[in-house]
Amino acid sequence: MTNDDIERLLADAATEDPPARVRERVFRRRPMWIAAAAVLFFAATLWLVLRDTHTRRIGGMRWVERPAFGRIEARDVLVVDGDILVAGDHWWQAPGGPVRARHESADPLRSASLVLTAPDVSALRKGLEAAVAQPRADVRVAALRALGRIYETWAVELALPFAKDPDPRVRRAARESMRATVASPHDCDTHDYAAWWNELDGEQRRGLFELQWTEALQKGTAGRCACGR
Amino acid sequence: MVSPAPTLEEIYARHARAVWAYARAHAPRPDLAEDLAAEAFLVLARRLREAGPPESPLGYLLATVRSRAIDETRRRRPGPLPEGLSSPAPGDAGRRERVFAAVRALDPDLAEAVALRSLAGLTWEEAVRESGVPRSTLEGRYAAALEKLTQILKDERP
Repeated sequence: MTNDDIERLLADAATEDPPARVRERVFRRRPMWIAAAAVLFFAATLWLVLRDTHTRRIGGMRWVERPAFGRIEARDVLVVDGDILVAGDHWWQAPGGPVRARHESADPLRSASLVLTAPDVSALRKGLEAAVAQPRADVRVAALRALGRIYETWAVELALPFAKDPDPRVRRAARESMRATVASPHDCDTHDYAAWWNELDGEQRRGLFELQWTEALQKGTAGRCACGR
Repeated sequence: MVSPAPTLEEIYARHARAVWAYARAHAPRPDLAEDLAAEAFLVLARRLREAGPPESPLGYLLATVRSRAIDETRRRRPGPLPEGLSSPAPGDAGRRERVFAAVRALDPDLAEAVALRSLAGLTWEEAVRESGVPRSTLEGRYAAALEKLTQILKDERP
């Protein structure tokens, strides 16, 4: 066997074609459904992120819809699914202190459909006033439900015009909100509903009367106020 | 006038055999050679998409095969040969298998000289560029490799 023979053997070996599998692997097209699934996954992720971080400002109040990431500030008032929660040392300290004390969920923000935050009461009021004036019904409903946990006369006054709203969801939210306030036990200087009643004008009183809440309003002198005083 | 950049199809058609033979010289089993060859073309495809064609597509492919083969060698423990490969079949396929096995049995430097020059079909200038050694050294290794192969393949019919 000479070197020429070896070179011939090598040249012959170099003529071998790669198996068809190599070509198939190189030029394999990814099925369309993989691309579609990738696009869908990306869109879903984007939607989740945008949904969770979508923050608007209404009347100076931070309005966070379906937050997945807590952004609670120390003195924020939070309204979670119409239930008011207070973070930090605020004028409505939730029993037990922290926000989670009033929610069974480990993280109320995870299950919340709505979180309102406001640095103080006046900002909360301003924000809710702006919120109930929003054209979006879901925003108005959420704001009205939040008003039902304020236990302030201004909250009932704010909800009252919506008790006859043509939208049944808004109407129901307003009525439940007002009922929650006037039916709450109160014996508190801060929340003097009797004095407030006296300040109402005729139309407002009529509105409450029609809703059959006057009795609850007038009887509401026993027990403790929801604010804890 | 600038000629258009070669497509992956054109590069594959032109260099598939060279890449395959080079991969066979580096991989102890045909299935591993398939992996190396396919991987080299897939890496080149990514390169074509992201940065355009390299100066020498074949050189790029061979370098990829070489580096992946080194990675594989480090990663894998040598295992038993698949059924039927320890005693290759007679005929062309069996003869080629014995030739590739003989090349793999050489000292790595000698094997690389033969793989670049005879299996991948590079010119001396290209082989010098790919191997990074002077031409005289490469020619010496090539000659030594042929001598060794003469002994290993003494019973083979060309």
